[in-house]
Amino acid sequence: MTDTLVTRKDAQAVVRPAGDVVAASVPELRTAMRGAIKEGVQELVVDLANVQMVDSTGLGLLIAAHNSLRKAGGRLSVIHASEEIVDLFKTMRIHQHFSVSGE
Amino acid sequence: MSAPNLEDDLVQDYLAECREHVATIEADLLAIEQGGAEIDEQLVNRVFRAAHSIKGGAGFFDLVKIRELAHKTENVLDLIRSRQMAPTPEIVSILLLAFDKLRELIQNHRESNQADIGEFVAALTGLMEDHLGADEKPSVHEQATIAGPQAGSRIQISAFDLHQARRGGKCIYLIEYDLIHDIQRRGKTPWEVLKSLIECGTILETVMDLGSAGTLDDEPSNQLLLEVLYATLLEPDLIGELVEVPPERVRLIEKNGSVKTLADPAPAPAPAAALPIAPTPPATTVSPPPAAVLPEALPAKAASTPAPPAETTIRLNVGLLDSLMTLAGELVLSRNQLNESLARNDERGIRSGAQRMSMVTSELQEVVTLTRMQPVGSLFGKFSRIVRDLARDLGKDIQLKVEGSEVEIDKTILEGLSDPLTHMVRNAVDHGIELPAERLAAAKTAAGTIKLGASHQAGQVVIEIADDGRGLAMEKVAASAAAKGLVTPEQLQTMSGRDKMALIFLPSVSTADQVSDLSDAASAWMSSRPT
Repeated sequence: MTDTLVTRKDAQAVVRPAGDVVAASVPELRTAMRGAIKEGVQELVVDLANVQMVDSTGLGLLIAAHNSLRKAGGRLSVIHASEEIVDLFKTMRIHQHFSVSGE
Repeated sequence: MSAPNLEDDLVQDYLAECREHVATIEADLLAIEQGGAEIDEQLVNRVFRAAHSIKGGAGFFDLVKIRELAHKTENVLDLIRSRQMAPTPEIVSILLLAFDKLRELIQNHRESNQADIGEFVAALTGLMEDHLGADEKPSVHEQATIAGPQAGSRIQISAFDLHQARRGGKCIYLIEYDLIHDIQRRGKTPWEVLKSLIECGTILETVMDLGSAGTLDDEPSNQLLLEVLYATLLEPDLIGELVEVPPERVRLIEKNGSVKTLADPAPAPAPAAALPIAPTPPATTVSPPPAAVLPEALPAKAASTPAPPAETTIRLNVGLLDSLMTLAGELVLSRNQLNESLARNDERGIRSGAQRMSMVTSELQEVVTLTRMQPVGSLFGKFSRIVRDLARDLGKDIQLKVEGSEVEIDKTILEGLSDPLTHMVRNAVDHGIELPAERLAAAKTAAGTIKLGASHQAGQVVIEIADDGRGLAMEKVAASAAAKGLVTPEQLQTMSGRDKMALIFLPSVSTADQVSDLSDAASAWMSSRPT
């Protein structure tokens, strides 16, 4: 399993998890995101290109990231989400809180 | 270049055609309403096609608002045509109002693109969204708020959706999931759980408690709350099979709005659940609920808008037009004959030419007068709508019978008749015909009848208006006139019944205990008095 890829550009960071956003990968992702926000990232983009599945802890992580960014005046967006993940976010009305776009 | 003129002509033709369509649509819609569920397809098709051609032309001339409104009415008519929607009085009312607006837009077509048709479009869209009976319609614009288990959590859903979701005997549940405990710990993913819900019912609304996730700086949260408003056929004793959450977190939303926790051991009927569904009345400030407001808006509007400008075009019988042409031709011939005779100084020729000319002129005048004659039906036609709308407002059941629609009257007289006749018809509806209960009590049919008739009598046209209502209270009329000092009590003693009734025509005499705004009796009778 390759590592999470974090690309920084000014106040923007793109986090691209190497695999599914699930209980096993959440701690590492959490650290990466927290680090980015600490360094002043305002715009955090989570690129789900390699992700097939998001479980409950994964959802919790994304929402926690959204909450943290909001506190810091920034915003979260999710890109390259699979159709199923977009459906999940829409059913949960999460897409009303941060931007979610598909593949 | 004549292009702009040509286009102007085209627009004028189109507008004239629209006016004709709108005029026939009203009568057709009322007939459709009369028919109720027994849909006369030809009739609906005719209205549909009229709306369709208004739409088509509007598209061509870039009259966007006319086009949009016509399009919406067309959609609704399509539903009626395909029997997906029954033409209830409420639906017909909305259609009538929409066509009223269309007429107004067509009247001012230049400004029409700036007109606000939002409420009409919304009302028509509302009709399309629910193909339900009209009594359920107001719920489209009502919001139901369902209080969630946590303080402050609220699920907003339109009462209409809630109602729709119940159809077919479905139960509505408010399920509170903890994504961590109820899903993660059971080795499932949120998507699997939601998918299983979707397979057995409908997810109406969800609310994620974002706060429960904490922030990245907090300890990873071991709770993530999601509320799901769910409609399914599964009964409360079976829902547990599908929804794997502790029963105390599944609530059944009952029809009357009360909320019952499934685990409820009867004695503790959660006090907090007493008022959970509070229908917050009409569409919380955003937009007024058009379906509910429109019908009331009409009478006020009808009263405030000045009479529409008189028609600028009239329909002419082709036969009449032909005889006009013939007469014009003959006139030219006679003139030529006369000119020739004058040139030849042929006195006999001049005499006969003048005679011929005089004959043709008289005939021409006669025929031209005829072109101004319009069937009284064009005037009577508008009363079906007036009677219908007023009767509905007043809760009366009234049939309008029209006789002698084909009788022709000069256009000017017809126009002059419009106001007094309207007053009289309104009077008959307002004061004449009793409420259905009163009528039944008086051994009459519940439905009252107003008769409007026109006939030729001894070279005159007689317009008759009659109702089978409560009649004129002669003594009340007399007393009112005496109280106003218009006649003396002595005069009254010698008056015949007929004369006493005629007192109603004097200004400010009224039999109504209270003068309603609907028809100011005195002014109405004044304007309808024969002069």
